[in-house]
Amino acid sequence: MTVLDITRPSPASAITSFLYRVDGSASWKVGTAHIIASVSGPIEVNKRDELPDVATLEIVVRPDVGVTSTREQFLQDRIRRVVAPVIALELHPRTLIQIVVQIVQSGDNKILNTISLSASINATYMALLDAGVPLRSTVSATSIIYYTTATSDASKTNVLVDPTRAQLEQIEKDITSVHTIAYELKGGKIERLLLSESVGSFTEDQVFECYDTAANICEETNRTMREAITKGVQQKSRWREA
Amino acid sequence: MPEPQPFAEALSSSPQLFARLLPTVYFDKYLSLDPPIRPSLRSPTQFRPCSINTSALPNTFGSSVVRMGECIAVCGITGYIIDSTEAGPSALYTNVDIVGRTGPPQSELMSMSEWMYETALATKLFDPVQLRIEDTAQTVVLQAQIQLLSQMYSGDVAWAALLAALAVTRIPKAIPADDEETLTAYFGTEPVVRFSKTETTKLELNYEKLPWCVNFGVMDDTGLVLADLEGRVEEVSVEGRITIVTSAGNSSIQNLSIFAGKSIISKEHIRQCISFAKHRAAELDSILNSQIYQSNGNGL
Repeated sequence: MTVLDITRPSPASAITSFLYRVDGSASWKVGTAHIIASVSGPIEVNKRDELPDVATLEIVVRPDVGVTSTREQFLQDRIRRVVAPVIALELHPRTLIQIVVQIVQSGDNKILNTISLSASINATYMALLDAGVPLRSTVSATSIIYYTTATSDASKTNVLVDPTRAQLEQIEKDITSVHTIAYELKGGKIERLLLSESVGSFTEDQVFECYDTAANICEETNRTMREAITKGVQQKSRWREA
Repeated sequence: MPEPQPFAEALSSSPQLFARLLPTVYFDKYLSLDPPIRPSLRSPTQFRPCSINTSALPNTFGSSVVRMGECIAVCGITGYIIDSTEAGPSALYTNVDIVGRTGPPQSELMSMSEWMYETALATKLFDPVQLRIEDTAQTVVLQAQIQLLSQMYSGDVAWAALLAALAVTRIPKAIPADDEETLTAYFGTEPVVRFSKTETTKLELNYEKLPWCVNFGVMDDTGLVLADLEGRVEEVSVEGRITIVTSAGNSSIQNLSIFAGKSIISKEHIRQCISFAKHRAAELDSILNSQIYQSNGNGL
C-alpha cells in the first residue's frame, strides 16, 4: 500500500538581460540549482553549417565543475529536442541561433542529471524570449523524484519536486525513479507534452501521475516566467517615464 | 543547343533519388496505401528481425553480436582491478563507438554513451558486491566497449548488445600475482592480484527477464504509432519518439523517454507503446535464451 506525500517545491526565480555582448540572457534559480543561458541570433553562420530552409541551431552546455564530458552532450541533445520544435527556425534560413548554457550550480547529486536538465530548459527558454527569437509557444520544465521511506506498516512512496541538492543527498539510497518533464503551454495553460525522461523503476500509473503533477508545477513555473519578463520589460522601458 | 528533356521522363527518376530529395513525401506515399506499409515493407507495428550471437570474441569476460534489421552492434566486456576506495558510483562503464571512424566521436554517440551509462546505473543490472575481491579491499570494475558496425545505428541495438554480453559474462577469479610485470606495475598497499586464466564465476544479473530497449515513432499529422524506426526516411519523417526500457512480465518500467517534436503524444500512445514493448522484450528474451542454450563456449 502506498501513500503519496508531495513536498511543495522550492520557488524559482529568474532575471533577464544582464549579459551585454549577446542578444538575450537569462538566469534561472530553483532549489540549489543556478543556470545561466545566453542566446545570440539570428547571426552569421559558417558555410559548412548553413541550412537552406531553416536556421541552424547550436547549443553548447558548460558544466559547473570539471571539463565538458558526455554528460554535457546528453544535456545538449535533450535541450535541443525540446527547444528546436518551439523556435520558428524556418523564419530565418541560412542563419545561426547560438545558445550557450552555463551551469553555475547543477543542483544534482553525483549520479543524476535531472535538475540540471529541467533548469537548463527553463533558462534557455527565458533567454530565447529575451533575445526576441520568434517562438511558437511557451515551454516550462520540472524534475520529479520518487523515493521510498520504510514505515512500520507499509512502505511509503514520497514525491519531491525540484528538490535541493541537500534533499537529494539525504534520500539518495531510497530513490526509486527520477522524472524530467517539459510541457508546451499556450496562454498559460498546458497544451502538450514536449519531453519526458523517466529513469529508475516505476509503473505506468506512476508516470501518468507524474505528468499530472508536472502539469500543475509547469503552470506555476510559467507564471514565474511571466512575472520575470514583465519586470524585465518594465525595467527596459523606464526611459519612457523620464 | 541540346534538346530539353521531356518533362515526364525527368520526373520518373529512381525511387532512391525520390527518397533522398523528398523523404517525407516518399514516406507518405507508402503509408497512404491500404493497409499502410513502410518503405522497409514492415507494417506499422512490426519490429525488425533480430539475431543475437554470444561469446564470439576471445579475450573478453563476455561478448555479443546483435543485429536488428540493418543495424549491427558488437559488445565486448572486459574488466580491471582497482582499490575499492577509488571506485565511483558505477561498477560498469560503457563506451559506444563506430568502427572505422577516426577523429573525435560524434555528439550523437557521446549522448548515447551517457544514456547507456545512466540507464545501466539506474536499472541496477547487477549487484556490484559480487565484484569485490575476497580478503582485500579491491574490486573488479567492468568496462563494456560497444562497436557499431553499420552506417545506421540506434540506441536499442547497442543496449541489446550490452545486455546479451552481460548475460554470458563470467568474472575471472583473482589470484595472487607472481609475474614480474604485474608486481612491478602496482604501487598500492593491497595484496597484488591478477586475473586467473582458468577459473571464472558467472556474473549474476538482477533480472531473469532482461530490460530490453524498444523504440517507437509517433507521426505528427495522423498520430500513427510506428514500431522500431530505422533508416533516414523514417527518422526524418517521424519527429515524435518514444523509447522504452522494460522487461517482459512484471509491471515495472526502467526507462521511458518521450520527445514529442511537433507530434501530440497522448496517454493512449504511451500505453500502447508500453504494451508492445513488453511483447518485444519477451521475444528478445527467447531469442537470447535459445542462443545461450545452443552455444557452449565462454569468453576465455
